[in-house]
Amino acid sequence: MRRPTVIFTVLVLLLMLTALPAFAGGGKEGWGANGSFIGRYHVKVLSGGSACVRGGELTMFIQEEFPGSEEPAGILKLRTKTNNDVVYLKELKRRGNARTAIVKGGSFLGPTIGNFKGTMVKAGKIKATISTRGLGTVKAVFTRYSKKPTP
Amino acid sequence: MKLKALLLSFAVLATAIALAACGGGSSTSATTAGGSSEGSATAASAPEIEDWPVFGRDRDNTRFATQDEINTENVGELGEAWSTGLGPDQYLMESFPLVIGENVYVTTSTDEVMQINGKTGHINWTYTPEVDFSQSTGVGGYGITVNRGVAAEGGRLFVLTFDNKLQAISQKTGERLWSSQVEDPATGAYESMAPTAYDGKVYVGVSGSEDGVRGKIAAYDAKTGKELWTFYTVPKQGEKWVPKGGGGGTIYMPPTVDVETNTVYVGTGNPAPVLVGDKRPGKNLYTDSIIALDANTGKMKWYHQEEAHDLWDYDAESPVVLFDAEINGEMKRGVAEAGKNGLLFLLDAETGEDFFPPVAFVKRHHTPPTTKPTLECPGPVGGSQYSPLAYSPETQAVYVSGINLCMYLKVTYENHNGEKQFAGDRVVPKDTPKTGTFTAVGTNTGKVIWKHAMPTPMDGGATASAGGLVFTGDQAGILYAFDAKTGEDLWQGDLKLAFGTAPVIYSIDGTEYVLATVGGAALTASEELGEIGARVIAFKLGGKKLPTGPELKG
Repeated sequence: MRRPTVIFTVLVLLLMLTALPAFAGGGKEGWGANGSFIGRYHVKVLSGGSACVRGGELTMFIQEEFPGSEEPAGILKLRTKTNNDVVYLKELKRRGNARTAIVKGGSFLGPTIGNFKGTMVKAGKIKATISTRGLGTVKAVFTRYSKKPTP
Repeated sequence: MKLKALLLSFAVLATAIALAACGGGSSTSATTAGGSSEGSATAASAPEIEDWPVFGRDRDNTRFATQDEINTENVGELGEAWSTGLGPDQYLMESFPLVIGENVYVTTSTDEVMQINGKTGHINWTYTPEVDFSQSTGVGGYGITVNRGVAAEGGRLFVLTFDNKLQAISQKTGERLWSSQVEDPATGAYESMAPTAYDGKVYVGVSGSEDGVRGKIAAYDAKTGKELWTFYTVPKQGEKWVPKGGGGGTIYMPPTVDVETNTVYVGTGNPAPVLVGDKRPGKNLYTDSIIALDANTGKMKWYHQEEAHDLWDYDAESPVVLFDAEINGEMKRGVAEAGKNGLLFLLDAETGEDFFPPVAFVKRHHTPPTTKPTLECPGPVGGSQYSPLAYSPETQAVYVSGINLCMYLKVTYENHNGEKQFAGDRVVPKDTPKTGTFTAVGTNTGKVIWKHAMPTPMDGGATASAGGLVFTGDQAGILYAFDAKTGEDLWQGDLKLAFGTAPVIYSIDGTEYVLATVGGAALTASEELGEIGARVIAFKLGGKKLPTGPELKG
């Protein structure tokens, strides 16, 4: 590969790497059409982070915060060797295929402890990086197996 | 093509290395260093050990420890012996531990069960059940999951998981022995309570009144997990007073068993729809009630309703305490329970009748909610929540944790925060101080002996000891030791993490420990508290000193 091509490739990669953090504060509200993401997901872990996450489950649903006030939200269980780590996704945003959320600990009203940055590969399939205080950085693929968020 | 194949191989290799670095093994790790040597709860009879083997230490659920090594004279020397974190991203703690032999058994808000060495704080093993937490979409819409602890009997521990499973695990190794589904999660029911184990039976309830769940208490065979009997606290939907979608009378704390009379006592939650009463005429039995059942059959002996036709979410949620008292010159068996309506009830255990008029322990002023906001005191998160009382036979007093938190209620006929049957809004007034009370009430007199105005809501409950002390913790993370007779504030320790539980007291090798589980109560923990986590912290005389909290007024 010639040097200019290498430099160009590196620049593109750097741009891709910086694109998601830059988007964290912006983008449109929500994750798009409900049918594209509401439901329950299996979690395939690509990288387990500092707490060695092994698997888990994601539930995306429409949360009724107050009468007449609805917004999408998620409950994410990530299983380590000894713990069920349960965190909550709020403030869902999108830009193109990118999907982000903040991560709350303890409850939907709890402290912000991290973030969720992903790409919707197709409806019902999201590849994402989740970073929290306790887990470090976890990379995983989320594949929807039910469009119903409830059991 | 070669480059693509190379990159693919590299990616596969990197993933394999990353996953391999996390090690293997099952979700139940084996006992290693400091492993348990006891085989059953009966091992607790070793003379040098004084345990906390059931929820309230004894069958009467008094939370009274008979040790007096730590007492009113030396409590100022109390300091931290050890402190253990309960895992990543743990943010709530409503687990009331047991101590059997040298080991502490504690649950996390996500249903793990841990055996921790009581002398060192070392986690010997963790049982991690597979739990479906998706139903927390409905728990007030807050996503809250809590677990209030285990029960133990015959070498088994019993735990209820959020998704309504009663599971038995080995007390020695943490291996699962059996699992029974006690309710269908599709009903909106979830679990938060610790079960009660006694004489080969495990007594359980279900939570979720605000979602219209039908309350029940059931007994299961401790060896097999087979259901033995079920008592429903309210009729089926569409029958008698319960409208379609309605229900209530659910249970949040472990029942208390009177082993002399073979009676199970338990408190029940509010009716639903919560704020709207016109669709559920009458008293709405047996909601907001203390009920007494035959332990073998589940047949009701009596009930005492604390709030008839409730419109404010005034559960009888905290666990029942049994005591002996001299009433009008006659020794009587009594029942104590503090309600969310801000009243303490002292009843005759045989009949359910009041010994004394109920005792108010927080500000009370409420009117039926309407479609216009009205300020109601206590609000739905007020009075006494699940907070257990303590009873000292030495002072003949019960110690009551109170929450002074008024709320605006407004009927909208709609849900609130995901609760399917709340039928309105609840709002905490802006700039309203969230405070609490801690009150000693005489069981022979029904009179307040002393009372503290506390700087935060008091969720965790109380623990008393033969050392003349009563302990309680607040939402700012301060653990207090009061003189049980006078209420004098003798010692404080700032743990920096909010209390959603009361301490337990145990002794190993002649050393008395006070153990606190901290991390916050689900309904009052907030971002204001700063650092939030979940820890188990043990104290002993001569331990590491902690900073103190504020001076109390009154």
